Amino acid sequence: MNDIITTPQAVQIVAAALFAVGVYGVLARRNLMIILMSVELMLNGVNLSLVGFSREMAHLGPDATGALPADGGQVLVLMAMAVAAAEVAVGLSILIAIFRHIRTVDVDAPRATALRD
Amino acid sequence: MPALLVLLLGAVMVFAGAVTVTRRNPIHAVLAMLVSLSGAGLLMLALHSHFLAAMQILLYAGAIMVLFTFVIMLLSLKESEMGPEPASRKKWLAAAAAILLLYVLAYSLSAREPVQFQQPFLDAEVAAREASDGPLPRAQQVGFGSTEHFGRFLYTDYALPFELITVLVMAAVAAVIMLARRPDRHSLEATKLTGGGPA
Repeated sequence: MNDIITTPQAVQIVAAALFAVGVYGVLARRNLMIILMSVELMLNGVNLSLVGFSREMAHLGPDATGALPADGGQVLVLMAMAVAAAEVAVGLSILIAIFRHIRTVDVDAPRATALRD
Repeated sequence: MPALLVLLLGAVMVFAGAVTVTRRNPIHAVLAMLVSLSGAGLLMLALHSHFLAAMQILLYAGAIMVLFTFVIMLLSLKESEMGPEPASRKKWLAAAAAILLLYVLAYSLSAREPVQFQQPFLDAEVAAREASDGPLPRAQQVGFGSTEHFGRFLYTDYALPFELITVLVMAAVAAVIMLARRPDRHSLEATKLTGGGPA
């Protein structure tokens, strides 16, 4: 198997597939909650890709500034996780605010309501 | 970890992701997503990123998915409140766009020079020191991806971004409090005037 596809390549393919599934969810679905979950899937795919790239560089020693080159990818994933948590909290409260006003989580409904009025 | 195992785990994760984006019942979607995120945690563990794997389980599978579950229970959506199913033409177009994206990503990835994972620098360092000085105390066995390794760079080189995250989280907390509080009398009247809302 390793001569057809190497492990780093397999990791990147899996990450890209997760991202593509998330893109499908964002484009095809109308339920705002599912769209938020799809965005999480996409973020997760990118995180996985970053971890894979960071692992590829893990064997390199400190650079001129004394930092390990692989550290950047690791810390970026941690930051992305924190941003994702903040994003979900804000996104879900927007969802609740919309639901309170128009009693639906259909993303096409707010526009329809605005047009009707 | 051989490529075949990564692909098998990835197949489970992508299948769970596909279930997430196709289920109508949001609870089913959340449970499928939990499988997908836990799989990503396992893969991070296999990629020698132990601390990130723990964070993945704690933050994603723990905090974020529980938040989704809470909101689903809070709203307890009825069938009519979820809106109609998207048109099948829209679904096919979205699937075509996703497959096209995957093809472009896979094509650009295949252009890279194939590499193999090698022993991380930090682990090699520990192994070399243990070979010359005998077994090291636990506190000095800092391997790649461990909590000690994270602590080293997070509070030195990356201290500023780390502190800025707290500003972001503060802003998110303020935004959530603003958004989730009950609408006051003024905005309720505005809703009545425009005719929208449940009244």
